[in-house]
Amino acid sequence: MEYYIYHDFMMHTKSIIYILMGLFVVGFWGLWAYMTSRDEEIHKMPEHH
Amino acid sequence: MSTENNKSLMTPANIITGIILLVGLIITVLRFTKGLGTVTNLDQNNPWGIWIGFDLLCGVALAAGGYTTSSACYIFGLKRYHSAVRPAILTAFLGYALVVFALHYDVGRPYRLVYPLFVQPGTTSLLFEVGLCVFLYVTVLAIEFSPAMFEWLGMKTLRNKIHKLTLALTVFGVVLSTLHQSSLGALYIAVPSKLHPLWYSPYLAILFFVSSIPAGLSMVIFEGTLAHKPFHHMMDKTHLDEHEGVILGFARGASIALAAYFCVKLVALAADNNWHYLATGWGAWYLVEVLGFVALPSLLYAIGSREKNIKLIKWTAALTVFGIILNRFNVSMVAFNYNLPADQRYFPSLMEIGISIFVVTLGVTIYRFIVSRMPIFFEHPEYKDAH
Repeated sequence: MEYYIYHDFMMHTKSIIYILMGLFVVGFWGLWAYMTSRDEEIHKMPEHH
Repeated sequence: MSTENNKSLMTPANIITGIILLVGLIITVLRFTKGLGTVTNLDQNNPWGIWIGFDLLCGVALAAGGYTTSSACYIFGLKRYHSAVRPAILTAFLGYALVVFALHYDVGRPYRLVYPLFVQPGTTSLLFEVGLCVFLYVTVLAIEFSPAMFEWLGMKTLRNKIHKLTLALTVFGVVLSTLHQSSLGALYIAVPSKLHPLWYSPYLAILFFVSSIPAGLSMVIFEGTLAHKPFHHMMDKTHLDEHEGVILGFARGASIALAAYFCVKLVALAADNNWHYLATGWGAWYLVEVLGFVALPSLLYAIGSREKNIKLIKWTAALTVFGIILNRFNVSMVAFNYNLPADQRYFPSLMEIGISIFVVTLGVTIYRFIVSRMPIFFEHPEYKDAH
């Protein structure tokens, strides 16, 4: 991809960054949900005596 | 009694330590009497070598456990990590003190250490900002650590007075750490033509600061793992009971922090549109660093935290510590001056590596001395429930 003016370059990189930011939000949500899913399972488990 | 003491001192570890310290002292004498050229491979193209790349950049990053642990405990109120605060503060204090110590080898003339701050302050230089922050933060860490020393010495009044400053010191420490962790990265913003585009970024300051958080958290886990066996007899019940919880909690924090660091790395890549470099040899090395030592540990920490797999977390902490060292090496040495011919590239001399090993050994020796005497892994009986 060629850029003739700085504005073209900034438009391209900024667009990519906005797409990445969207992916990061979903990624963080997924990571947190994965890490904490067992916590909920432990809390739900009935106590054995 | 003295024979017993002499016998106990002659352990293989102590003998190796003694040899390293002796060799280090000899190189130190050579450095300060014959000059930099005698002991280093530094030249006009490569004025900063392993003493900056390892002793300073890695030393500061890995000492970040001090501000991360104390802010978790005192600012965010996570008191369940309290037992990890003193070991983390001690590691940070020793780390920073040794950074200042090691800097003398590069700068020379130790008696002129005060010049940049008090005699001829170069207030427009980034190095002035780094120097000022390190000077202030070492002072803050010394004060933060001092209650342990005063408890050991039985100086109750002074200990209680300083203990009241804990929150203020923690806030001050976080501010100073944020400033100088990032300014160390900002130093390399001044060399856009020397540093490979994959490592050079206008976001270097942010990258250095964000990476210091998982570095500090991982170092607390790593150091705790190493200290657990030899100093088990010094640890009280609270410390031993909280140990697993500290590891699991810090693993979760490190996983998120590494994921954030990975995101900033990608943003830095996208902002300069450097994607095409990924298809080169340098790109392969960059991917090894970013995927193998940032994304992978983040994932492994998440798995370890979810499965409560302490062993996996401990190995991941070692991987992360190695990854941070690799990143600082890449920025300061490997990808630095990448466009020079191979024969003009820098590789540290044996004596430079010797000094770095000497500095680390000195740190471990002082750590052992302090931990086996002062209340670091246990609460002093006279101050129980005083926190």
